[in-house]
Amino acid sequence: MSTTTGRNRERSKRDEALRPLLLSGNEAIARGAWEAGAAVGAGYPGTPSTEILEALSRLGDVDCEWSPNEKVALEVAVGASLAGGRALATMKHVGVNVAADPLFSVAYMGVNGGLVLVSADDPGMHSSQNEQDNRLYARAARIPLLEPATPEEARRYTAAAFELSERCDTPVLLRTTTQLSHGRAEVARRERQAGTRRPYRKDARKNVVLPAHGRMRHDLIETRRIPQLEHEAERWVECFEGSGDVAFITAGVPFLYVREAFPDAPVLKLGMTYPLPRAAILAFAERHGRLMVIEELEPWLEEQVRALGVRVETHGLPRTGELSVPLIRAELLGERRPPAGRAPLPPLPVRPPALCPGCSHRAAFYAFNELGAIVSGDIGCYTLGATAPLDAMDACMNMGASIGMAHGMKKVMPAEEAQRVVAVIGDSTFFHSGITGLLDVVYNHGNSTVVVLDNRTTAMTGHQGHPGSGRDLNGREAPRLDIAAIARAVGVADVREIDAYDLAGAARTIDDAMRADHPSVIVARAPCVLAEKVTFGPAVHVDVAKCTECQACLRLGCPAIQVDESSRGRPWIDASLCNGCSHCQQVCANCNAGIDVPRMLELVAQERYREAFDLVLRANPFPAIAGRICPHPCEADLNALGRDQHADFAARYPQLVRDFRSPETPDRISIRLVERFLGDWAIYNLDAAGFAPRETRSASVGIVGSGPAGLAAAWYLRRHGFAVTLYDEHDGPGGMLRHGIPEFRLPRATLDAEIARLTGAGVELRCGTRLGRDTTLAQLRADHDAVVLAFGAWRGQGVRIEGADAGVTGIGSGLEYLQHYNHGDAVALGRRVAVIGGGNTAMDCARAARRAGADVTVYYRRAASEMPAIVEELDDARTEGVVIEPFTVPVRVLTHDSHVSGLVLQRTEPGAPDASGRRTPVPVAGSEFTIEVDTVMLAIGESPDLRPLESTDVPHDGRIGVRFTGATPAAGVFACGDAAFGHGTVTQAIATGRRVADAVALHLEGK
Amino acid sequence: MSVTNIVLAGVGGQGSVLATKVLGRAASNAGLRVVTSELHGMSQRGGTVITTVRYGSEAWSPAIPQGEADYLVAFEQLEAARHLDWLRPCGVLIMNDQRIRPTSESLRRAAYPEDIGPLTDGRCRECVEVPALAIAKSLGNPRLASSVVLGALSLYLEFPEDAWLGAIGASVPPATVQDNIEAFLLGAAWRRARERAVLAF
Repeated sequence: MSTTTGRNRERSKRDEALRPLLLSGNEAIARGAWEAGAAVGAGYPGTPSTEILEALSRLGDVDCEWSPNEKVALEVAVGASLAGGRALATMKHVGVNVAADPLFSVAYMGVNGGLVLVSADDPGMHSSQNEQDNRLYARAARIPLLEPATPEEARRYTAAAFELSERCDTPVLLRTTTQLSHGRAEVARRERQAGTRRPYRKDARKNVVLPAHGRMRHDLIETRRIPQLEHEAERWVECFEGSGDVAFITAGVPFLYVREAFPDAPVLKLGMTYPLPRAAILAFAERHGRLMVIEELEPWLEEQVRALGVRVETHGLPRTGELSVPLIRAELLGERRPPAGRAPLPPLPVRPPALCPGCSHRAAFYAFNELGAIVSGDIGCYTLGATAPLDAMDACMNMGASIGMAHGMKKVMPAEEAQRVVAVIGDSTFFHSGITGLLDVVYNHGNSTVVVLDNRTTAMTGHQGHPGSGRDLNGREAPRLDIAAIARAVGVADVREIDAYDLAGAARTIDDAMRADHPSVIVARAPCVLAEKVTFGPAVHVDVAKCTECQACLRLGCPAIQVDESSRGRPWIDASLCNGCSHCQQVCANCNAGIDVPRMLELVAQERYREAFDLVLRANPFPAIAGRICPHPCEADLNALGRDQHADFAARYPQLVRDFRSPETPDRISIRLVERFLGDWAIYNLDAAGFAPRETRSASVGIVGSGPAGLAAAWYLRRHGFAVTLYDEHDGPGGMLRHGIPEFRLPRATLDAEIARLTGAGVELRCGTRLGRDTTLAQLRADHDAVVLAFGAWRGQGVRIEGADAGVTGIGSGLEYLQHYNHGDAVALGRRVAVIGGGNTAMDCARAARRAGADVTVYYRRAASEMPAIVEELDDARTEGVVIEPFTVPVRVLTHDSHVSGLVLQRTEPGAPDASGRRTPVPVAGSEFTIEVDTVMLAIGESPDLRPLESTDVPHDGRIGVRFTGATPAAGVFACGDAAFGHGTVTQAIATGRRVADAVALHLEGK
Repeated sequence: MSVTNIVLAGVGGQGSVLATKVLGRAASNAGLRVVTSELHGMSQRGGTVITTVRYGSEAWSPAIPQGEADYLVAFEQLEAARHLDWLRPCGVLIMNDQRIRPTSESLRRAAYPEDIGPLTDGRCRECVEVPALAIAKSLGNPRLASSVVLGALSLYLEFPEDAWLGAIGASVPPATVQDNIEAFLLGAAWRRARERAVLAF
């Protein structure tokens, strides 16, 4: 009695141990190999094959390894088989190409222990560069091919494949596809088979592939193996009888679709699809009049079935991508899903994969982009460097190809272009097949620069080990091979390392190596932040008070850096994603336009002016203008990194300090002077006509307003190749640059020269055309594919001052005065002029009025140090005799005969800080005083004239309503500059023009 | 209907593959024939992850055609919106109310929908917005959010509770089994409480 219970318990324990598991196809393949008593598993990671060996290694008892590449993996498996063990080799479909050499030879040799090669194909290319159909390898190599459809079949087929391999003395190709590899279903379990090892036997006529042996082996394959396999194939057939009109022959995953699409149809499901089970097919065909073959990709089965003389009906299922039940029903039954009867979803932002926040690969791609490199790429996570905004990859073909391709490119390109070529490859890929490419560069007199991004893991496939990772597939420690040492051993004398978290240093090193005339290898070594959960420090945040909204940080393509409607274009950082890597802090140069200031200085120091100018052009097309009038926050003490970058620059480039020091601080580089120099250099040295776009597009863009924002938008849209027409209401282009800013600050020759570059590039200028008077928005939308509104802010803000009633003369907008001044109109100012305001317009008014002979006093409500005007302009104004009265606000205008005669003012004192952190001025009671004055100029900000937008679908409430990109809700209408964003400085307006050009280009390219 | 179709959508790193495993195992523990799929290519790097679970006697291929999902389990709002058309009109959307913004580059092309509520009109029978992240955070680990969502889903599927708990135990890392079970139970309790609130109303 008790014995029976014990036996029962024993049995139930065994039943429990063998209860079916929910396994993926890949895990089931591993399970099958394990149950078959496999001794060795070898492979190279690659989606969708990777989990097979990982699962096999976890099951234990099997010697598993990640080989450096698929060729080696198959060779290891062949060796194990030769020695009498059962061996499994696994790889993704393209990996079989790498292993094809041993595959075709072992096909002749045959096996000792069973040998199974798993090819994980990827129809639909979920994560592959092609969707080649590896079933074709079976016929080419003359080996049997098995195609399981479900995880349970994957287990059974794999186990049986070893038997088949030994029985027929042949390697077996087992093909899975992504849906099977990554699909789960219940899988039965069996015990592991023991004693599968066969004794080793030397047999040179079989295993040494001399031609004489090969001829003999080939003959045996044709006369013995193939007929034997044809016989075997009959055992892998499953026949589902049914009642349908059409009968189907199918195999693998498509069987599932057929079964679901036609539950009652007769189906002949083939397990072995090379060679075919001839008898079963002929018998099935005899029973059913109408036959169709359903399979993914190549008509592999269909052609073979036809070759048997069976009549097969054609259908129109695609030869690309994956099949599906709806696809099959639609094609074969003409069944179209009825329209859902609901509105389509709005366009949603896509969520493409991106380099992780803090990824060590980012430095190299940022550098490639800044250097304008021609990048020969490779396969791995870093292929994501090809995506916007990094955009830093020109080609990517297959594992290890980057180096050979770069070498080949350089052979053909002219020297200037060839110098820009660089190869980039990951660590695992370098071990896989990069070393041989490097050998070629060294041997064949190449001078390629190869950047190896070494994050010590095969990251993209899920962090598998490799010869440089220091651990093996079973988690044991392993020798860690050093890439730099290998490069030296291969014969590269110039091997450098870069710090992936020093952007400027990385760019400098890569640039230097690319310019050298010998082969070089640069290793960027840093752990994978994802694999090793690296945190560098606390999450970074944007300093709202300092951010210029230039969006230079967005060029990094870091997923943690966000910009959206919530901040109207000011980037912010998602603290839950940021790991404090500091890349963005390094990129932030406090530049209003978003110029890569460190790189610009670097290039100027090396007297590479053209390259420096081109670099500046990427962010600001008007450096000669900006170099004169930009408030240059870049020259502040600290950048976002909290380091005195000037000290860094000064130490690195003493000559640059001597050449470009600012008068006030002789130990510092004046970045503004460098920019101005580059702008002037280009005016004198470069032909304005040399900036025509390389290729033009038919789409046209109309831009309203030729101020800095409109000019910048025009420039970048023209660079994109669009036909650009710039409309301006004034008689000359430039907007505020010509009509607001006085000539003594911005020489008209400079302005004209930089605008000439625009017209030289093919931008059409139409001056004297005013929106709302000479044309309408509707007309512009009819004439152009997109319209950009960049008409600026020209209306002086009418602050009500008591006494300044309608009809009172002698008080008015400072901006209006400046327009008259810049036109040379005579304006009777009188002797005493009061200017209210503290910005650049106020300074311009004061200095212009001073030049007209008036005594000028500027009244500002806060401290002089808080004036928004550029410090230099303030200093110049003082030097010229302008009096500055801070802490003062106007109260009342006094008049005589309806003309201003005096002004009552009041002192203020700093009160509580406001949202921007500045202290609000509070009037001091009883501090009123009166001055005599002939003219009062109000320069306290400007607002856009939005009347032309009334009764249009463009939102306009104070400013034009835009997304952060500059797109308005009205289709094809965009806006930038002060009319939309209201930053108020020329360089920030330029930055918005550049941004809107990108948005317009996206819109037009998406059309 | 002899097959129940469940589509799960999330963002790489949210644990939707693990949740799929749990759901599949739970169905299997409940004695159902189940097939699942996890298409994870480059999705590990913050991309969209879509997985499927199908169970019932006629479940053959793991692929679920658009418009045929009985349940859409979304671990993030934008992914819920993106996959709404997978649902049958009589289907149910179970959605974590978390919002994970895609890259700025993507946002330049299209805006993140302010409110996905209106999009679900006519696209599903019921939309359940689960405050899963908040519940998970209250347990001290935001990564438990996917188990909270499964808890809310569990009230719709007729698996016995021990099928779920067994599946969690067999799927998640051993050290986090208790936490995940607690998160799962809180998700179920939240859904039950909401039901009561609706009934009381």
